[in-house]
Amino acid sequence: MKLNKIILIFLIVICFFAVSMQFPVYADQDLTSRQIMEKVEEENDTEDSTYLLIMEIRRGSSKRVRKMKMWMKSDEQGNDRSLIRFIWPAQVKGTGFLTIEHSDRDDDQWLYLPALKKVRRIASSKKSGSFMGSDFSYADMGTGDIDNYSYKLIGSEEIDGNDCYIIEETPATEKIKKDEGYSKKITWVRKDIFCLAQVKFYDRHGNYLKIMKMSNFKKIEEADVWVAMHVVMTNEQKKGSETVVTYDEIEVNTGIPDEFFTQRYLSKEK
Amino acid sequence: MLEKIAKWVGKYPIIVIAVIILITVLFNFGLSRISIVTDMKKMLPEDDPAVQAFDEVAETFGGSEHVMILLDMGEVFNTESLHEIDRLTQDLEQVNGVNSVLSITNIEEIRGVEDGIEVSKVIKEIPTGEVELKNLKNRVLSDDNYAGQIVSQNGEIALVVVQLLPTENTGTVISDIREVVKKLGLDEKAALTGKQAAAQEASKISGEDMGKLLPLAILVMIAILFFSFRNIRGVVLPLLIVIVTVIWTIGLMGFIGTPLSSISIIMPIILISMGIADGIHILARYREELLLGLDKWKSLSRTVIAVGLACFLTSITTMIGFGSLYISSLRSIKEFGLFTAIGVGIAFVITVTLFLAILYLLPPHRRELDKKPKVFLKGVLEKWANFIVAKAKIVLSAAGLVAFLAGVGILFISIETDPITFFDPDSDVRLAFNTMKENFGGSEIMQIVVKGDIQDPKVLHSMENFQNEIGKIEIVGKPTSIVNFLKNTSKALHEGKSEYEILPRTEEEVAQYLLLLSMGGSDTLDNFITFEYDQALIQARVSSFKTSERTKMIDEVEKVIAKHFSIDVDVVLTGFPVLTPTMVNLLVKGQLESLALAILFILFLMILLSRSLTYGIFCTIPVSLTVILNFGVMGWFKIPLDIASAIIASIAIGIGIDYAIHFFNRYKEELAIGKSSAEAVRITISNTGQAIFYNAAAVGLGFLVLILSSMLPLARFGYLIALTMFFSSTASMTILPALLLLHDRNKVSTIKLNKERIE
Repeated sequence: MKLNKIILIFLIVICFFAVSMQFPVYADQDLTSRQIMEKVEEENDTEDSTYLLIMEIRRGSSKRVRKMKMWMKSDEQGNDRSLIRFIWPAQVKGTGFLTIEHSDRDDDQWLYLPALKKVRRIASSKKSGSFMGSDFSYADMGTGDIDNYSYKLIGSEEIDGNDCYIIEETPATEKIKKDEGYSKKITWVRKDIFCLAQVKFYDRHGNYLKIMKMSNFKKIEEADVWVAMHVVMTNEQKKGSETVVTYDEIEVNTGIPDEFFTQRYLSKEK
Repeated sequence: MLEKIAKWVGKYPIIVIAVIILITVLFNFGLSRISIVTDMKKMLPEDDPAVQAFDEVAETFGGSEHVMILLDMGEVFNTESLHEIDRLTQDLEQVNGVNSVLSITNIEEIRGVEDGIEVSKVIKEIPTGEVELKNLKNRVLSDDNYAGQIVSQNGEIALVVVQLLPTENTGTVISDIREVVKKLGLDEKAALTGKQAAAQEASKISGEDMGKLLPLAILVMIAILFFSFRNIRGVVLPLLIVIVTVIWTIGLMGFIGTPLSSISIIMPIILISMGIADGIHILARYREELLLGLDKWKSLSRTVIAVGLACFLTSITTMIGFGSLYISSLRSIKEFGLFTAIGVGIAFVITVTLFLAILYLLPPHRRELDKKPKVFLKGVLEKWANFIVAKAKIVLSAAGLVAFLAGVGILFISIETDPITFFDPDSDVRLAFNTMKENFGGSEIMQIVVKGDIQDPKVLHSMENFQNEIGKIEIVGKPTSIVNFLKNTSKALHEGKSEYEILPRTEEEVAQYLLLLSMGGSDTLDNFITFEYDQALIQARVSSFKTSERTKMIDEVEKVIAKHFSIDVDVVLTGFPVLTPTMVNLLVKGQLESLALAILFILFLMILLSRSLTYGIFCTIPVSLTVILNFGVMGWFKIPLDIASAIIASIAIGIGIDYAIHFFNRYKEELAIGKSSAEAVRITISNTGQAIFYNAAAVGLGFLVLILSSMLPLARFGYLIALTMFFSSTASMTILPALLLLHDRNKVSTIKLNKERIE
């Protein structure tokens, strides 16, 4: 009798553990943080994309507005290539900026100035440097390698009426931290469409630096991807410093020729 | 009225003492809240256009205040030195209150490379090999963007330029900067310079000074008091008044939140020297009355009646003297004048309350009633009195001659403020200043703001021409602005060919160059051009602190501005080199106004006191003469009129008149009881003259202590005031009696007249 009792209790305890094992800390999903980020990458994966956008850099009551067209395409190894052509204001119309990423060395950057009719290489600026004086850094502009950061799911929150995962990202190596300039990022990922809704950036010293908010999500049917048409990056350390990017047109997978991403094409002012 | 107060104090001495002690304890708390402010800009009025321009530039371009750190590395271009400079640069960037740091290790350049252009640091990686180091050295020292700007021409001294955020307390930031330097073990090699650093150093030195001089001044007071009264009471009581006064005054400042500035920090010494006066006069007269054999009560009563009014008046006149500084537009001087005046008033109040109360409580001291030194002084004074009575006319003629000579001397006075001479030639500040001047073209930065369409090539050309021309002015170093950046960009975009070091020619070129520069990702541009490209900043170092040279420079620069810039471009000149001459001019103008005001007030008061126009004028003459003499001495001996000496005139009037007041008071008293003019003069000189002598000695020697200060203006202030005390007390005992004698000689006293009538 005594032994039976022990075995029964034992079984009950085992069952109890077995059942509880089924329920991880966050009961409403079964994805790890890494998996979430992989899904984000997946959902936003395109072969190429073309944007017509307006970038408004605000400093207090002053602002600088630039209208530009941007073509992006990755190469076979997954490295980004982008071509930016300025459209407005008139004094900078035709200026082109070409960036070619390399996995084994620094990026190549080229600038074409119509007034000079010359293409000039710009020695690659630090990834943490500001892009064109805006609140976005070069690191923010590119599509980052998922292995650059480690991820931890820290919660759930509703942003603009949409339920989001909250993921804490920390640089995977000291080099990444130094290069990109962030000690950590907190990312809100929309649970429905796996798009970033909001990102908070923390500087090298761990102080809250800036916040990026995405809105006006549109689905591009042909490619089955969602894109945020409105992005605002606000610097929390410098009062009144903010950059607003509004996309006018987005086209995806139109088959941009590789030729676009050459110096020769850059000087064509197209 | 005073009599009533005295009687009341006599009735309740203990209550009075208790109340005073209570209030003193209260003010003690205020003492702990006192702060010291060293910001030079705080000295200027906020609505001054130059100050507003300065603030505007600071807001727009991120700070117009700089601290320069000179690093004497022996050899800048070796690996260790460069690492040290780099560490310092990075650590300084982290300091709260610092906007940017520029040094050889983080300075950027626009370089033309193989097939392109590079905006990056001059020293991308600190070289370790000898050859690399040598190449770097050659490259840097042959480029006048760096040699003489950020590294000395001989490669031994590196300059680190720290730009401060516009902030309330630069003193704290500078202290933090020093901490960083010290922590890196660089304080042997480093010297801080720049206006704010110097001002902070000045404050530190005056603070240390006060720590030494204040005890000394107190010792001097003790000596004088002992010499004149020969007992403990005579020393302790006046000192008590003074200490309580200082506690109340500084405590009050602490409560209100008014900080001590580098000027008002000498207040304790001033209050000590002067707070003693009333006490001396009362004690002296008290002693005299006791000598007549009266009891304590009677003696004190008569003392108060006799000298009370005079003490009240001297306090008022001194308060006027200091109070007149309030009309100065310089904040520090305003506050200094106001609170010193309040302090003097407090001293009087304490005298008629605490001091009197204690005297009422203590038994009269008869022991000192027959001491020889007193007799000696009295003897001298009696001889003096006889001389004056006999030779009144000669005395006046001599005085007239002296006044004339002094007046001539005034014509030679120069207004010159060279603040750097305030510091000892061996002091760190002075040495650093010289190093800056010799190797880097000066430590002060002049700023010219150009408001207009900066992308317009015409505007840029105006700026270029302007820069070239002012660069030729001797005390102006190489001007830097967006023009330099654009020219370097152009050169870099054309394979580094020097013939391309020119400004872009079209608006499109300008806009595209600026776009290129903004892609560099550096913030340096922000310091030179605004976001909307509607304002540009031109900076140039100025190597002289001399007011006259700077004023000349400002005039020249204004002319060049008018020459090169068209009317639709607004150009503003500012920066410390421009602010300080303004400050000096304001200061001197203010002082002359204070002086005129003080003299008028005092004259009015004297007329009121003596109820006669003539007597009023007579009383004012000794002190007016003293001021003329003072300025005359400055003219003849080439002592420039500067910040410290300019303050003296109105103060001197307020203090100097005291002797005439006491003198005239006694004289009148003697006349009233029937003495003839000559007798009145004799009695006054022999008796009140003693008090006047000790009073002048106390004040004079007290201020003379300042001579030991390591700050030149304070030392000058000290001996000029001491000199003034000497002159005005002497004048009050020679010229005044002479005038009175000649005027009253034929006046037979009214009592005598009445007597005769009755008979």
